Amino acid sequence: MTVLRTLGKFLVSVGVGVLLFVAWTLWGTGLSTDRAQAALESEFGALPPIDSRELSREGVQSFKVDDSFKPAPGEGVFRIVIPKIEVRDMVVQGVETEDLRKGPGHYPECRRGFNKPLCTEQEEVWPGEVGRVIISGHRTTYGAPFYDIDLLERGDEINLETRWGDFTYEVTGSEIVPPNAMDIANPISDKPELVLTTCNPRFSAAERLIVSAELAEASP
Amino acid sequence: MSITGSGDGPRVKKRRSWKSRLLELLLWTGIAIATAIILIMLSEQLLPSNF
Repeated sequence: MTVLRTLGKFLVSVGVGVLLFVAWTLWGTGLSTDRAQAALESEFGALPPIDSRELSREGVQSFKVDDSFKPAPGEGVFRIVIPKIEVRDMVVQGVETEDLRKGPGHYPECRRGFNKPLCTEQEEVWPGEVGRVIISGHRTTYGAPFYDIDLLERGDEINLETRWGDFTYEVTGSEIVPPNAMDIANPISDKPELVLTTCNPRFSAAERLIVSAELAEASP
Repeated sequence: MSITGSGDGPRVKKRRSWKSRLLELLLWTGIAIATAIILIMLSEQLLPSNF
């Protein structure tokens, strides 16, 4: 009887430990993200503007950011603001686990500091440029910046505030793909586009939710 | 200490001291916290990168 009672108490303790872990995963991880976001916001505000030049090809307005802009992993690169779902976060460079702990991550090109498969062999695309700006974010943990992106509908605005201008994209649609679908990480497109990716459904990584948007307005 | 009766005569049931109960509570709390810490340390392997 004593053995059973002790075993019961042990299992209850382990169960409480698992609940503590779940609470840490859902809410505790957001604390470190909040701290990182505050630091990124403060650094971003102090950075000088970056040169970009306007291009106009076949009636499509776009920009080209200075080639010397090659941020390091985890560096704050621009701000994403989605009014409909009350998102306002600094986007960091890179989509490695460490990067996404700070906030949504901009899919980088493969160069020093960025390793396959979490980078692209193509040239990375910045807001306003022709091609796909790809941003990946957590749905459940680390502040869950993309918790509500399934609520975005055609025409909803996504603003990217950068050091070379502000760019407003409009949602064109969304789709659900398998988690190993790598073609979503292809930055090549003939127009300025934005792709947001996150896990789907919430609290699971069984699928990926992709929200696509096109550049609607630019204020360099 | 309390005395309970039965057909076999009175039995003496010792009450545990509050210190003993507190120590046991601390032990189980420690096990719960240790479990949570182990899971957190393993979470990089347990959770997918974009969960």
